[in-house]
Amino acid sequence: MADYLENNEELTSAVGEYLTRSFDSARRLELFGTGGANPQFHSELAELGWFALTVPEHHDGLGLPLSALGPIFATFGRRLVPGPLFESLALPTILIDRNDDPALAELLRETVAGRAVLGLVDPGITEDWGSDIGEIVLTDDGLHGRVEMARFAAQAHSLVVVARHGDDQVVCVVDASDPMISIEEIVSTDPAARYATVMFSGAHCGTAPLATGSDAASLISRMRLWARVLISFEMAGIAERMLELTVRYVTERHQFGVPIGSFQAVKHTVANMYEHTSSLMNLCLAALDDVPNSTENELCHIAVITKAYAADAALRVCESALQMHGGIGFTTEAEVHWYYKRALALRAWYGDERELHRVIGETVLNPRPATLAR
Amino acid sequence: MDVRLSTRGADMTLLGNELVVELDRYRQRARDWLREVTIPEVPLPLTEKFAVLRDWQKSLYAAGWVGIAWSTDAGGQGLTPLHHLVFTEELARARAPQPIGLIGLDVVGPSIERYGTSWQRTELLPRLLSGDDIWCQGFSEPEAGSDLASLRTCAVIDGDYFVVSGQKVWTSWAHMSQWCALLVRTDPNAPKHKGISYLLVDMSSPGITVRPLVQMTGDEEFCEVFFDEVRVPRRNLVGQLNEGWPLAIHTLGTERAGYTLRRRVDYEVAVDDAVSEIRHRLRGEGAPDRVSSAIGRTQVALRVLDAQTRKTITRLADKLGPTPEDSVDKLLLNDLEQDIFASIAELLGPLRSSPSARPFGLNTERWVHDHLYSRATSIYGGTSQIQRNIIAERLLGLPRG
Repeated sequence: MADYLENNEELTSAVGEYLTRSFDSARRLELFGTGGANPQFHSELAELGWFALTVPEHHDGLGLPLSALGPIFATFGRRLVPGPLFESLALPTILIDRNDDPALAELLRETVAGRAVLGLVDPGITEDWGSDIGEIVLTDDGLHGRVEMARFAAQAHSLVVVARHGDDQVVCVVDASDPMISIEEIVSTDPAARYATVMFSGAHCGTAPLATGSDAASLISRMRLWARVLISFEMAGIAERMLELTVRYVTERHQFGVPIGSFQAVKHTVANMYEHTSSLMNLCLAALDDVPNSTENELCHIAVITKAYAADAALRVCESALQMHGGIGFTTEAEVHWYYKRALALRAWYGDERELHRVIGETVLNPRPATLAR
Repeated sequence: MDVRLSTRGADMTLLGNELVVELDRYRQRARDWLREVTIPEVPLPLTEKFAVLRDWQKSLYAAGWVGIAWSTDAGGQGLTPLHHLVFTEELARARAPQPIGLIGLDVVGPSIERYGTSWQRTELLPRLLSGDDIWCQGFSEPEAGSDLASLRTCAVIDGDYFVVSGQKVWTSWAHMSQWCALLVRTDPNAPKHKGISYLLVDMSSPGITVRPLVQMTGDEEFCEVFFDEVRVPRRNLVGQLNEGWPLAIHTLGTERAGYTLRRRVDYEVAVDDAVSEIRHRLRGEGAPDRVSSAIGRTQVALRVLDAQTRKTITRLADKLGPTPEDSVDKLLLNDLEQDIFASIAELLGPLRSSPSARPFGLNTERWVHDHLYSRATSIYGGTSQIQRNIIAERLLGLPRG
């Protein structure tokens, strides 16, 4: 375990070093212009081997546990790295863990090599806006329906689709170029991701669904669990960066002849930012700590709790950062606004605190085995 | 019940296998003992409650479960803070009450254990641990709250004695205490932090008057204490004359970190009770959204505190002593305790004012009491505002204003 932690630290600092070297603010700004959908950057990351980190060794990956990605996603948050990162670093591993299908293995190889991009079409990114997001249904003549928002669907070569099948759920992997799928890009305010509306009118579901019944429920839970944990880490990273920039700013900025950080009204706001940032990071790390000793249901519950706090705490930290920066923070001259917009996009992706508080309470008050994954 | 056991978090993996095995064995011993022993029912009226809990502390002490991390010459078991935490968790899991003398055990005792003379440690601490002596903490004064170092209660040396005069306030359990850890001014001419000494005062000494204050919960837990030329032997001085301030800081830091660990367990028990009450009423039906959301909030708060205390435990295990990080624990504790009890109390709605009502199955009288009590958290042990000053200045390096 200690070895693993040490390796993980090396890995995280290697990621940080690459970003320092090759991802300066000019390049970041350029990438923001494309919502992170940049083939050059994507293949750089693939060449560095980042997409192979958690892929099992018998699929030519490094075989690290998914939890090794936590601190790396915190770094992505601190540096505000755009692109299909969950879709490339975590999703392939989660899919292959449950299925050794040769076609899937081939798709995975292409993804890890950076030659293919995966998109995840999951209406479960929200419950409270379920009717706005829509749903996909698998019938005898293929996939039907519409999902209002899916990340990187227009850039993806293959789509991982969470669909309803009668009273059940299924997971399908489909070719994004299937003529029965239409994808319309959305102009979004999230600097670090691209979104699209995806419509299915009888698309083929490969040879068969990737997972059905309880296998599908378990696979869906696992995708959502890791999405929630890694988004929480990303938000913790965002909060850390906001705190750092704010401490620097209130120390440098003078008014009334003194640094504004010497005023209690400012100090107390910054102290609360520290409280929320450090407790969020501790919460994320505790989730990783609990991975080896928890059942899948327990982990899902922990992930929901972690995401609920991340949605709330990181947003508060960003808003305090904006306030502490005064007028300049409201402009595009400072970088605060990028972080704020990213945090706003992430906070409701797989549930904001209001949605998740209800979900958590339902789980605790009514501990019956759920038939559908949440 | 489902008390999440923070000592089972993976920070444990940093502690070495031997200790982990040893702690598991210790946990099993605690469970076995708690299964055999008769766990007392705690009556509500304060005096009776106090008597029952004091007897309980004696039984715990006799069996070696008090002063677990204290040195053996002070009457303790010479084990680690982790052993102590394991036992605290098992106590909660068994639904057994905490010992009564917590100010002594968690707040002033550790400072006497660290800085006291051999006489103070061997004569006073075993009786503190056993519950024979209950301790209180004479720090705050009417004119010295957040600005504790401006305290005015003074002590003048007269031969082998200090002669103490002045007034303390917010002194929890002073009316039940045999001893008081008292901060006094011994050099009125020195800068305010440099003229303070730390005395141990026998509460039966002539010249001490204690007046309990009624709190908004209806309890009489804390008091005003008046000192009128009280004679205190010089051997009761802890540390050096006029050098009491660092000891006071040690006591406050110990209180902040230790309190967070212990209160986390208390909240888990409380939330678990609320969940049982609601589930009993629901009988398997789905809960209204409002109820689910409130319970969801409490679960998030508990988990955040659990994650935070895993770090606290690592600090304790490293024997770092009090640090400004303790202030983060305390600030978070304040916010989360108030969030937890406000979430539950809000489910009482208009029935809050009817003590016998059972809205959503909840025991109104209890949750009103606990909610009101939670408002004290951000005041005692250093207000949230003081903790924020410490965090901003000592952790983040912002300029002193």
